[in-house]
Amino acid sequence: MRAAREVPDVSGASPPAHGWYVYALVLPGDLVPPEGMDGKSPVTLLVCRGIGAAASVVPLAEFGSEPLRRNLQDVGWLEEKVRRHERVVAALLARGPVLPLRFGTVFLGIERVRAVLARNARTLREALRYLADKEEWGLKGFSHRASLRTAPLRGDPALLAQGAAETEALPGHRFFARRKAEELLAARSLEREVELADDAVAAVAPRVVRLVRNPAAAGFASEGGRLVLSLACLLERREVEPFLEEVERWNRDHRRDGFRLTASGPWPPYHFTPGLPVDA
Amino acid sequence: MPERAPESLLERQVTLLETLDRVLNRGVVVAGDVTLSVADVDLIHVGLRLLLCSVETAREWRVPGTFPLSHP
Repeated sequence: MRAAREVPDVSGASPPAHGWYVYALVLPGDLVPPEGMDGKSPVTLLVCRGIGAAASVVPLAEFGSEPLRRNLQDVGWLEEKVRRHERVVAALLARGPVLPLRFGTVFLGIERVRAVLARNARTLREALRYLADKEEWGLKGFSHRASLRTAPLRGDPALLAQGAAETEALPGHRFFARRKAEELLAARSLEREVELADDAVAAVAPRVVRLVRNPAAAGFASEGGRLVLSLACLLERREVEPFLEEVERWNRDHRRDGFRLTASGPWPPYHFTPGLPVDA
Repeated sequence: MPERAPESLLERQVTLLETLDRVLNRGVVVAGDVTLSVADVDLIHVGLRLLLCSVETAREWRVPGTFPLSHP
């Protein structure tokens, strides 16, 4: 019988058996404690200088430096923990502004959490205030090559000319003419994708406070579609509806273009957190 | 907010990608004082790639009531 098993030793006695997993930084106040990383320890707020660190106790046998390294390569473990992390941050976001921490941030003791809050209190308070009336939204652009080729490129002068050349070519030359037409079509498709992506960015930009354009997970594709545009947008809350309307309008205007936008959100503002100075 | 639910498998996979990219690669980075160093972040990418390869994972990535893109 190990009767004391449920009681984490967080007294700081060495060697520590538990650490503090920090999910996000928030404003102090009431918190309906979500379930933490280990599925039992509740998330609590460790408060220092007007900043609350939403944290829960985790065993270092699982989250210590070496075990964590091993676990990060275990897909099943990673998936479960990412879900738990995500769920906690989502619950915090419903409560007010959050500064999400990168996955896997584990402190060896409460005093170390407090030290980081104390050192960066001003930056963190300003960031929370800045984000209080804003939301992060994602915007993805999907290209459907087949329809992009049949619709918007149908009237392309260069392609028409190449098509005519193919028809008129002598039988022996037709194969090469056709291959040239294929190459031209592929090149024009790519150009057209870039044009449409830029056009979409320009359409939503006036609604956006800050915008991060991610390299669109190059080559990510399935079901004949391809991800070609990936944006993280920071919006004033009152601009969210107009932003979504703009996306719908753009999709309506381009419904025959083989290119479609998808908005997602609100996300915790992962793309718009402040950088903290590396400790001296 | 299920009105933003993804429609196709591609979009569901991308939703998973979006979630993982945010949770694993973004957010406030605290150097020092923590058990995981910045150099270890590359290890996360190993797991991330494996996770993305799993279509089953993309199908099942549903956390009702949390992120808006999850299935209703």
